[in-house]
Amino acid sequence: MTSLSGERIEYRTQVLWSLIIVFVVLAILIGRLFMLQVVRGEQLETLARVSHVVREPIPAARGTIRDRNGEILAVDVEVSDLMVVPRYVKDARGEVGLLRDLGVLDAAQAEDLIRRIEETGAGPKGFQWLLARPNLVGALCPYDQERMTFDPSRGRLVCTACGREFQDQRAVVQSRLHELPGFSLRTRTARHYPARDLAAHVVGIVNEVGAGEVRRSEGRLKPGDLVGRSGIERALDDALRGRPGENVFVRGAGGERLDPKGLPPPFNELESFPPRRGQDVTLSLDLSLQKAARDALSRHRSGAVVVMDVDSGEVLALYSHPAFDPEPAVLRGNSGSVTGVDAILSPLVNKAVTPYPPGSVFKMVTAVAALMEGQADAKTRIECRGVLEYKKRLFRCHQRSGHGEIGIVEAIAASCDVFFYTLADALGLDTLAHYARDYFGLGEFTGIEIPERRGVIPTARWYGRLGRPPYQPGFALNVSVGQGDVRVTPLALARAYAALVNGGRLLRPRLVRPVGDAPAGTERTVAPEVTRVLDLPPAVVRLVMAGLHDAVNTEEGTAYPARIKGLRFAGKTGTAQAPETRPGADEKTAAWLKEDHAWFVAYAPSRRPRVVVVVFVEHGGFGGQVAAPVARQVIEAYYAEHADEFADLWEDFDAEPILDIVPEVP
Amino acid sequence: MSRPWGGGASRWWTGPQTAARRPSTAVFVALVALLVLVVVGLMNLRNAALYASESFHQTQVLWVVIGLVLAAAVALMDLRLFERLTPFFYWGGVVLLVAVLLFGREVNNARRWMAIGGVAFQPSEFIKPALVLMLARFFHAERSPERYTLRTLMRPMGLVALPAGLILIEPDLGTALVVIAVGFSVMFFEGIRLRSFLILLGTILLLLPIAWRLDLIQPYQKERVRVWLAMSTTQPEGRKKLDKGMQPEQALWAVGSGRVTGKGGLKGVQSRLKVLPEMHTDFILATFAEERGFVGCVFLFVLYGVLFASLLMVAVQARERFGVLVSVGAVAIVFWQLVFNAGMVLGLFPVVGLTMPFLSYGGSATISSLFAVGLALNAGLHRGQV
Repeated sequence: MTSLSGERIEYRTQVLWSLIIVFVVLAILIGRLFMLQVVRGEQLETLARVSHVVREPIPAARGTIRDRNGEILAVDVEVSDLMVVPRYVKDARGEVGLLRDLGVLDAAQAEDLIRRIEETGAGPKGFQWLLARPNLVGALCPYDQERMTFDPSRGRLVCTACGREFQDQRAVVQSRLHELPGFSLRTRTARHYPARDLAAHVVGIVNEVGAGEVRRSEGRLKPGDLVGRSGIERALDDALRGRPGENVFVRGAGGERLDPKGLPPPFNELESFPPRRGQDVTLSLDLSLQKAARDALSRHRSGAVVVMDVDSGEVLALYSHPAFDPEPAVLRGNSGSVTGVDAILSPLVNKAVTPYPPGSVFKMVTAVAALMEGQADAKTRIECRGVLEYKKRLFRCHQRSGHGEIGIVEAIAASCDVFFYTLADALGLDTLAHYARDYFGLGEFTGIEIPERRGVIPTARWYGRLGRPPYQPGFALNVSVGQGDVRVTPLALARAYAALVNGGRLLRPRLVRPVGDAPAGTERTVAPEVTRVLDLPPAVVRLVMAGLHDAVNTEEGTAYPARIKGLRFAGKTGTAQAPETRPGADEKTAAWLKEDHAWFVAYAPSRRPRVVVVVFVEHGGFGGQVAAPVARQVIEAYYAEHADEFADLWEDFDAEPILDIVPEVP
Repeated sequence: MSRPWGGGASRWWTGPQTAARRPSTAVFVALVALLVLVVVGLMNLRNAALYASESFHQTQVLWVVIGLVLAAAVALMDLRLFERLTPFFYWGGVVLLVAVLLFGREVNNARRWMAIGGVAFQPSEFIKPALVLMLARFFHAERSPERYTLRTLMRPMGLVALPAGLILIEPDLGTALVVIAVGFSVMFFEGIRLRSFLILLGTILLLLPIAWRLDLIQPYQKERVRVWLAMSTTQPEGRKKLDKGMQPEQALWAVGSGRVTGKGGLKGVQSRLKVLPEMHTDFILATFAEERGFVGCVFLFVLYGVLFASLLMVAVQARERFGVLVSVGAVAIVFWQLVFNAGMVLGLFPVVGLTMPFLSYGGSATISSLFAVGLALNAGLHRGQV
């Protein structure tokens, strides 16, 4: 029988062990407290003053974009906005009245602001920032964003570029802020495009990142950052953006700012670093040629011009018409924005890199293919009676009366369709496509830096798939004159014609000059990037170039009215049938959409060519009448700009026969 | 003369106190220690409340009063009543734990709270004393002359594992750990074979990494472990935590900045600025340590030590195995709660989310701790009854 005392004895060992465990564990806790409070106490007490680490980003300026002559195309400018927190405003009428008296707001703006302050001030959004007046006049002229200097005698700012006078609103507001409770100034960066619509498609635009992009960027982007959305701004976004700096400090428990250096680790290892400015970019673009292109196209509704250096592949002008104004609304101010562009003309589409049916400018490819394949030579003569019957279908020449019996040079010059129909029948569709694509790179991406679209070069296999019509033998005839399903971009044509006249080097067109290059003026020093070298015998090139020369410079030529006497240029006209309908088109527009596309691809001068000029006028009509004069205007601008380099050429340009000017294949 | 358990049932109810069986000194020591702890806790909580510009310390006074009345009632009651009701307590508690998983209020992604008749409480607080009673009843009935082995401990281990598992699902890792620790304490006290104990311990240590791999441990719990590991090293990973997730680290700073003598009442910087979340509940020790310093903390832990030691002395005064084990289990509840909480605040364990007995604010926790002490004192107040 277990007694009471027996029970106690039974548990003695356990009680002893329990007490030992209790005291050992409590001793460990006290030991830990000794470590924390006595040994590390001083260090931890310093740390306890810390509330949190603050990391202030310092924005990095975005790189400036310039043209080849150093003209600024895109640059960061600082903009000061007047902000207001409605709930902190003491006397809305008095304060806004003061701003009006200071010349910061006009009467209408003042009334509107009072209304907005009173409306939101009482509501739940009363503590949120309200934009009282964007873009106060400060260091930059509101008209052209050029620097302004302060004229002390009149106490006003004077623009160094346009000479307009302004009151320094930013300084005035700054000095009176103490009388304006609730108001404050905010400085931010805006992207300024001094060339406005002139280079809009090439340079592109920026805008603020969306929340989703910030998440996906893994810390690379922060809310409020500007990112490139199109053109060079987008293509070179990473290089242009730079890297923001960071100002790191430690906020103390009392809200005070603590220097990390005076704190124990790990805080003393926190370091601020300065922002790294984005890289500046120099483009190959020549703003004066760009302007010539715009002026020449301004008579027409829609179109594009590409000017490319035939030796380096540098794009000197790439203009799509109509253009848009890339300037952010806040900077536009009173300077008259480019608005009222009909959306039906697709002002946002870069037509220089959009594929269209090329019409007769494609005949250069057909001619080269026939000469290379032995289907034609210098002695080939074909009779044109204005129409060709092929498998019970009639294929008409643009000249209904016919060209009579002609050779290949006259056929190119006069753009005889029957001549090329005949060759196409012998060549077949796939051979034509082979030369167009594998030789001249049509239907391929050119590799230019900005986003581009690819054309279409149909083959027999291309048809009958994906809902396309089945292949018919007559398609080769259509394709040979640039009709049917061929689609090429003006830029791709520039590259193809450059390869013909530069000794067979198919180049990658480039807009960006190598990084680190200072604006190179008008020098032609950039090494070309050769996509591939074409095996074009000089005899073939001579024949085609003779045809292209005669197209402009003989009376039979389709572009004879656009010729330049003296320093001649050569080229090929194109008139492509492309009737279409667009939703929302009015009667006049609908009629315009039925017109043919007008094309002209020129190189100049006709001997030792330096540039290729491609003109595309959407639904413009006859290439020779509409597109060729545009090209002529652009070429004249090019000649004028490079007059000194051409001085010796002017002397005896006609002394050498045309067919001896073909450069050797390197 | 004494008889085995269950012999003179009727006399257990109303037996008169005789002079020879007055409460021992240990009971008085325990009572004094408890009352001092409660007063220290209330004073400390008043300061914590002032830092937060709130007045929850007044509510706490109410909880303490309710808890003390309950503790006195439990201490004076005849344990026999509890013995009979033990299965109802235990299984009722288990049912409540299941119910809280199904119908409980979700707070911070965990279902721990349940409202009955407008009063919110945590069933996991209720199951702790119920489990102690259940284990005590088992060992009392199944007493074995040998030391227990794994096989003979199967049933009590199941009794522990059932509520522990349910609490883990809520999830409330801290309370589950306390339940397991309390279960082990009672088994250990009853005498478990060393080899069996080591096997059990080894199995648990082996299961931990497996549970980690199989994602049985919640992501936020893993994060807490990572923060804890980063905190105790000076590796770069630890520094990345500087900007956020600093609660445990800031608790350390607050404790350390108390130095030897403490900052004094209402001078705690970390606490005053509400930098520390949960500073009046789980992290109350940080507030105390910052204000009272090392000296104050030693005093506090010595008080706890005195309380536990005296309650253990009281426990073995019970005249029956059931009473002894109930008292020991009750002490274990308070002891492990304290150890896990202090270990967490002092950075010895990852954050587990437990309150500090007698110091933390909270109705369920305060009443449950005082109730446990009442259970433990019961043995000392009934030692003489036959």
